[in-house]
Amino acid sequence: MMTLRHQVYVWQFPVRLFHWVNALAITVLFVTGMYIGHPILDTPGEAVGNFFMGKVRFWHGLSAYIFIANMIIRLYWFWAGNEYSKIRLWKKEFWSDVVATFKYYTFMTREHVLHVGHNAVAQLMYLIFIWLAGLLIILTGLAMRGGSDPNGIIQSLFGWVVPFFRNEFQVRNVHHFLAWGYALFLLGHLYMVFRQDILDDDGTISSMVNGYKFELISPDAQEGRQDSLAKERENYR
Amino acid sequence: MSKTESYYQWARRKGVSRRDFLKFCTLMGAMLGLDAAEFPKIVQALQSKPRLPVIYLNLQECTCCAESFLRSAHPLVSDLIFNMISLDYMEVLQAAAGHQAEAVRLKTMKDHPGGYILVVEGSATLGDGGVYCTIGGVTSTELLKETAKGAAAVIAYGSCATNACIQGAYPNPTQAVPIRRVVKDKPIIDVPGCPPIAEVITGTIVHYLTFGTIPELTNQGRPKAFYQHRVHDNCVRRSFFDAGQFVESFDDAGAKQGWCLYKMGCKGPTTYNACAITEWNDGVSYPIKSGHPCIGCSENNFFDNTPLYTHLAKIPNNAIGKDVDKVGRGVIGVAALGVVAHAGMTAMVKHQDKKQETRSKK
Ligand code: SF4
Ligand code: SF4
Repeated sequence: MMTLRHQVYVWQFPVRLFHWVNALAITVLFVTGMYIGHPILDTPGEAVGNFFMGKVRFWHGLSAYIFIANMIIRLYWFWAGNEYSKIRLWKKEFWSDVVATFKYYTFMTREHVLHVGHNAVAQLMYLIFIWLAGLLIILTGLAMRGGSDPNGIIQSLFGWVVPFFRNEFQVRNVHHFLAWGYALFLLGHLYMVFRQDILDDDGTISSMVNGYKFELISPDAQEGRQDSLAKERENYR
Repeated sequence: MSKTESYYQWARRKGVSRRDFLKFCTLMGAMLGLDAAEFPKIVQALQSKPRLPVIYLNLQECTCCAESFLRSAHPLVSDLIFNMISLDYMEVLQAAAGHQAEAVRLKTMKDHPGGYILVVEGSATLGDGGVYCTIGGVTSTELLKETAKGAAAVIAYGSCATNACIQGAYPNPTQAVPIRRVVKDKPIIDVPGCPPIAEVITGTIVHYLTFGTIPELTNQGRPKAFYQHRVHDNCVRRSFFDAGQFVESFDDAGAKQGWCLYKMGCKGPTTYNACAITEWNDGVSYPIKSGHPCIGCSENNFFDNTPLYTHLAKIPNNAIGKDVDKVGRGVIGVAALGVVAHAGMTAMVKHQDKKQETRSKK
């Protein structure tokens, strides 16, 4: 039997752009951040001619601002974007989908609801690992940056974070901890994406480039669909 | 001495010339980081204001702050402290003892209700009703409450008073708490450090007696003039940090070259203090300049964020017992195993499904 699929435009351009900018920014942030924490290389020569750590910190800061701007644009797109760019926590269906998908992922049930967009568990993970953790990592990061310019805007906006965590040492700790959250997320994310692409053969991976996913046409709908496709082909002849 | 005598009158009576008086005012302005336009204000204030009575309490502490304070290096500054303010009560300095001493304190409180400054060194103790520190028969916490009642402002001097310092470190057996936790209805200025730099406390007092208000504070409640900068951001070794040149052990070539002490456990990157700017002992040096990493003595719970000579990122987290990066790597490892297991499981299930399919087809 032939499996019929039709093409759906799922990820609009801003969503895809967000995804890749985010991926790049997080990678740079993680690598530079870890280096700032553990500077393993010693620069040879005189200090006057070198600015290695300074540059690492510069790239960390630059990517951080890109990361933040990117998040803000995406936040806007939750509102402006299509159906698949939204997350609706307050809907009953969302939570029943969380249960159903969780059961599917833990092999408690074989059948699984097909999603063109994200399933609810994925959305929940994005909410926790990208949005909530992102907010915290941004707050702690800006709090530490702000200290370099005590009378600057950043310090006046985010100065409360340090007393909130009692001291800047803890702010730093939390910042690092969350960074590992991103590594954990990446691992799970990559696995799930490849798994999805292989099992459901729906073009998940390529959809992040071109935006299209391939939705299965349900068996009962297929009959009619086949006819119409045949008709279409006729027309083209 | 009459109560209404101003600083200026008092100084003249002591034989200070007008010229020296003005010099003193200029110096204070410079210390507080004020611009020249503020200078007449200081002169004006000191010419008209009566001397400020100060009560100095020593609670649960080691007196290192008082030691530092007594070493206010600049002669004019120490002159200020011992001559210009009227330091009415300070256990370690006053001649009186026992009931006499307490009587002085009570008299100052009665004569200047709402008009004296209370400087507190040391923490209050709440454990077992506060028995771990008693002075003159009352617990330090009671003494603090009683004395703070009539104070115009309270200066929490030293890390004990601002964050309970070492005795407040886990498990904090005496339940030492910062002054803020006990005195809630007075303006409080935190002057942390273990000990703080002498010029910082004198500067804070000068500010108060000049303007009659507490100085501008940072987000952590400390005088901005002294505590707004990180030690790291003004450090003499910062260029080595930015270049990426780090001392790896106290006797290596880098240490001789004066490289950055980040990996030797320097807490400068998370510490807000005036060390790198004001420096210690009349600006002679400060720990990092002398080759010792900053231990972060002015930060809340600094003694819990130890070992002191362990690189910042490698300090074990108190709650977890391991440093965050180790935990992170562990979690990733476990998760990777999980992924492999899940993938294996998926393949198995898929395989079974296929078998069933072919069987049902037959
Ligand atoms: S010695 Fe400490 S405070 Fe100075 S630059 Fe290095 S890490 Fe920063
Ligand atoms: S260098 Fe650091 S530990 Fe040393 S006195 Fe200054 S703030 Fe405290």
